[in-house]
Formats: sequence, C-alpha cells, structure tokens
Amino acid sequence: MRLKLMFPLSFSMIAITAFAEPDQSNDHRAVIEVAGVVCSFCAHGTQKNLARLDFLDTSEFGSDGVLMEVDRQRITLALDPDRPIDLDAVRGAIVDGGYDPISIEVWRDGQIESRQ
Amino acid sequence: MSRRSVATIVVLLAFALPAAAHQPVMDMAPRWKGGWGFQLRYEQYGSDRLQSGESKIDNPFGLDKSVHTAWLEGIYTFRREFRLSVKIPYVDHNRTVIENTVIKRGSPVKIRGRGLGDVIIGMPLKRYTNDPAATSNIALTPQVRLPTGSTSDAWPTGDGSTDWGLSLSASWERYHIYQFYDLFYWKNGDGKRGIDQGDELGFDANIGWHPVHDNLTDSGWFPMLDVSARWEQRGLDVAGTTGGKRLSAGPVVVWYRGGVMARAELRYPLYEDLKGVQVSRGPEFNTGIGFVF
Repeated sequence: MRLKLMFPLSFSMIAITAFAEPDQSNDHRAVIEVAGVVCSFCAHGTQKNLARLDFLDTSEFGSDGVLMEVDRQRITLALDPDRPIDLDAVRGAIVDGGYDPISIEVWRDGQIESRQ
Repeated sequence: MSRRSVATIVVLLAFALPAAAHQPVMDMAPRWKGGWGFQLRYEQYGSDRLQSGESKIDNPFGLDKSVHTAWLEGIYTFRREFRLSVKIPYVDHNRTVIENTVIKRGSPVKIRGRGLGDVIIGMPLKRYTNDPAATSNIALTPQVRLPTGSTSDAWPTGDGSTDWGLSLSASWERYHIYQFYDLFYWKNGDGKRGIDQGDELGFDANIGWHPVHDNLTDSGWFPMLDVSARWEQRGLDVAGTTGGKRLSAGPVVVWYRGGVMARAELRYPLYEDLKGVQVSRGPEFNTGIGFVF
C-alpha cells in the first residue's frame, strides 16, 4: 500500500517542482519589464547604466549583476541584500538608455516586496 | 581624458551614404544618452565589364576600375533623439581609361589616386517608439560632404565640391526580425578640374532574421538581405561621363558580443543602366567592426 502511494506522490512532487517558479528563497531580485528591449547591442548603454547602480550584487550575472533577457524584453537585477533599491535610479538608467520601463517587481528572500 | 573630450574627437558613423553601404545596425546604437562609438570599415568594388546603357559591349582596351576605401566612422549621442556623426574615408583606387593626350590619343592608360577622401558629417534626428515586444524609429538626417579629398591625383580621391544630403529612414525590430529602410538624396556641387557629378537619389532596404542570441554573454549573430537602388544624374569626372541607375542586392552577416559588432556583406549588381559608355561598378564587398561605449 505504501509503495503504491509513494509512486504517485513522488511523481506529483517531481511534477510540482518541475513546473513551479524557480526557487528564490535566497534571491534578491528586481525584475523589470522594458518596452522595446529586443536587441542587446542596442541596449548596451542601458546595461552599463544599470551596472553603475550601487545596490547590485555584482557577483551574479557575469560581473555586473545585470541580466538582459531580450527574448523576453526583461531585465533582472541581482540586488545586494544589505542595500535598499532606488527605483527612481533604476527607471532613470533605463530611460537614459533609450528605453521605457513598464513595470518593476522587487523580490526579497523569495517574496515579492513591491510591484510598480 | 574625460568622456566628453573623447566624444568630441570620435568620428561618426552616418548611415545613408551613397558612396558606401550604410550600417543599419548602427542605426540602433548607441541610442543612450552620452553614448558614443566608432567603426572601422573596408569597402571594395570594381569590374572590367564595359557597358553602354544597359548593354554590355566589347572591351578591347581592357578598361576597368578597382576601388578600395577604408572608413573611420564615429558617432556621439547627445540623447536618443539627437546624435552627431562623422565618416572619414581613405581611398585607394585605380582605373584603366583611354588616354586623351595628343601623343597617346586612343591608348589605354592606368590612372590612380590614393589618400584622404571627402569627409561626411551627419546629424541624425530620431523619433523612437518602444512597444512591449518591439522597437522602431524614424529618422531625418541632414548631411554635408566636405571637399577634403585631393583633386590633384590622376584619379582624384575627392571632387572639390561641397555636397548636401538628406535622408529619411525607418527601422522596426522585434526579437527575431529586423527591418530598415532608407531614402536619401545628395545634391552634388560643382567640383574642380571639370568634375561635376550629378545629383543622386538612393534607396536601401535591409531585412534580417535573428536566430541565435545568448542572454548571459549578450552575443549572437544574424543574417540579413540588403537591397539597394541608385539613380544618379548624368555628370562628368576626369575620365568622362558618370551617372546612371542600378539595382543591387546581397547577403549580410552580423556578429555581436556586448558592445562590439562585426559585419560582412556582398552585393551583386542585378541591373545597371549607365549614362554613355562606362565600366560597371561590379560586385561589392564590405566588412567592418564597430564598438559602442
């Protein structure tokens, strides 16, 4: 009986894990939807502007804490858990880069902290 | 050296150049405030195909031409709507023409020219539209081509005239698709040594498909198709009549990583209707590498 239950339970757990959102329990992230960012070369300046922000965890995403996902028109910032995020600075960096931010989600320890 | 000082000495990459293939991908960068970039580009074309109008004719004297141009181009973006560009050419060309002196009238002779060409300054004025999954822009670019090239060589590298140009372009891009269209006109002034090239109307289209991109390294590549049309009024240079119409097309391959982009293209003449008797422009090869900061 136990064996019969274990298999579907195990399968269910695997399925849930496979289709669940990525584990962000230790992640501090800002996920920004950006209008028009479909070309990384074109958005090179935006990436440079964001990389200069002083509240990023530069040990992630290469060496600047910025992940450009041009296939999803999304920019993810790895945040320093000990520093507050400056959303106006984030928006300014993107606008000066030639693009328009649509929304910003801030995640702390896997929990969404704010969405604008 | 401050960023502003560097920016003031950086040359420009202008697109919509009748004498050289434009760079549509540089149309999209640098679009950020205070951005700047430069590009090194090599262009080559030539042939020994002699034409009268649309028709190929016999070429018993072996008339031909070969043109090599190295461009140093740069751009500075004050803000996304306004940038300044400069293109500086170094020309090395030669052609076989019919000698027209009293002693050697009717004999073929090779003439050459090498040195700085005519510098072009442009001022792209752009209007961007950013949609959730696409970006586009339209641009109006006034340009001036200065008489910086020498007119003393047997085949001058400049024509001694100041020329004025205007281009209207539009581009549209999604993640997998890129399109660029450019319509331009050059009003050519009267040059020295009897050189008087006609005004030119041109149209370029680039359509690209973007199959490969890596978000972690910001790198990828994509192929494009380039189609170009030119209409040049009848004119004169040191070897005779200039002007005509032509349509050409060919493949382009672009590779990029971060703020570096390299490009290579071939262009083949599909149709040429030349004024008088002239040597065809022939196939063209163009390659370059650009850096943005």
